[in-house]
Amino acid sequence: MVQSIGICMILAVTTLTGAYFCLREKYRLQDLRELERAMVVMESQIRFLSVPLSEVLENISYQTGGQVGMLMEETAKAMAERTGETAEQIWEAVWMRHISHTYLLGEDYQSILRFGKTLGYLDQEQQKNSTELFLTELRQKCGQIERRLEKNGRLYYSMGFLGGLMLVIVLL
Amino acid sequence: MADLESLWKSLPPALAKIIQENGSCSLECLEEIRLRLGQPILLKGSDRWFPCMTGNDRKRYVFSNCDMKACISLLSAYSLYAFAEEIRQGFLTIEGGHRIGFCGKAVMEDGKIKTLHPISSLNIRIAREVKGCADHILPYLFEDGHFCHTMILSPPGCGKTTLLRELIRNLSRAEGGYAVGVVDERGEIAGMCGGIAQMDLGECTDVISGCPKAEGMLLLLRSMSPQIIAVDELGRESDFLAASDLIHAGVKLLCTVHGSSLEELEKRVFLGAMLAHQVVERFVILSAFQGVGTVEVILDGTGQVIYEKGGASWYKASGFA
Repeated sequence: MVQSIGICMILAVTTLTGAYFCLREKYRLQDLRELERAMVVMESQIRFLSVPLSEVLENISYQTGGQVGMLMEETAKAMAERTGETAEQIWEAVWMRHISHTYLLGEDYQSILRFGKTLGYLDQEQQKNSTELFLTELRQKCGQIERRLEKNGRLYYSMGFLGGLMLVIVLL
Repeated sequence: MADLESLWKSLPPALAKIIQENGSCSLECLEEIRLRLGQPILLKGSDRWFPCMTGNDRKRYVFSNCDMKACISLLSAYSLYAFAEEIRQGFLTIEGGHRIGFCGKAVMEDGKIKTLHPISSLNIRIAREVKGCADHILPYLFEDGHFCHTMILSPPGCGKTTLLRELIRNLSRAEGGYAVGVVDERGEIAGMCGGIAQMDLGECTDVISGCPKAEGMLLLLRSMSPQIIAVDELGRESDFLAASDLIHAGVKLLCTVHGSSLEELEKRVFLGAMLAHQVVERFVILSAFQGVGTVEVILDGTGQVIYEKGGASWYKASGFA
């Protein structure tokens, strides 16, 4: 009886570990997609409306959900209150506070900070180009994750389950 | 009074502190702040220039590249791209109505200025309202209870725009309230920022800003049914043509022009024609004889004097000079 419970527990834990790896990638993709949506809105508002960054970010926060929407709202507020000397400082401070609440990885964070360095002091054309560049980078990342999930999504679950099974056999 | 709080908010905190604690120029009479790359910060007050001193040894503070980047970032609300047109025109109005002038290397496209990059100098002009300065003038601008077409004239720097702003406010707040339309091409009258007039122009005032005067006047006429249209510094042919249209459309005109006497105006082609037709019913002539805002004389449409200089300037009386 105890042995059966132990086997079930091992199988459950390893399968869930496999699921965690799969879901983490899915949630990361979700966060990146939200960020991509936000950047599309930003690019179009910069291109067509020429509204200040705090307003752009506020508008984005209405249209984007999850952590990214909240991050944009907080950045907009900080910019409206002028809590930093440059947009880069504010962008970096807000992301640093909230990056742990997202599923984004270190490499995503570095790209976000790189984009933040271009905010605020460029003319319209340059600002538009830098947003487009960031968008391209985000789309590439999303594409890679999607391909990886398509290819390895079930593999994570199977590997988890099979890994657990192997452990059980070894232990028995 | 000047709203300096909004200005300090728009400058890097360290720089704002240095200017506030400069020790040479009183903030109450601060008129301009000049920020030039690699040069000391200069403050203008009471018609004199003062270098900005800092530290215990009272050294001149030299404005650096980092200061410039932070200033531009904050003054443009972290959105330089959103003010491309303003940079092209060389100035930007911020909260509080203060005007930031830009200078630097002009980037040209098709023979026109596309932008300024890099920006090497900033000129911050402090906006001040002198409330009450039009009180003793206003009664002379009415005839049989009706407001007259009025032209304020003076050489530059004698307080035309300040007086115009006060007249607009008083008319807008008058009993019954005149619907006043303001064409603020350069943002000097209302200091529009985020759609809100930074200067108090009264509750019956509509402002169109950043638009050529002639087009603005006609647009206001079509869209806002104003009783009075106020406009600063008429000068181009199109401005006078549009002003004539207004006058013949039943709208009262309140405007300013550069000049020191009617004789001078008569020599100017379009103004001369306007005077010949006696369409303007009141002329308020200002000078800086006894300080900025000295009302030299008020004339009626035929050139008859209805008010002559009696007291000191309102600017001085308000304690700013």
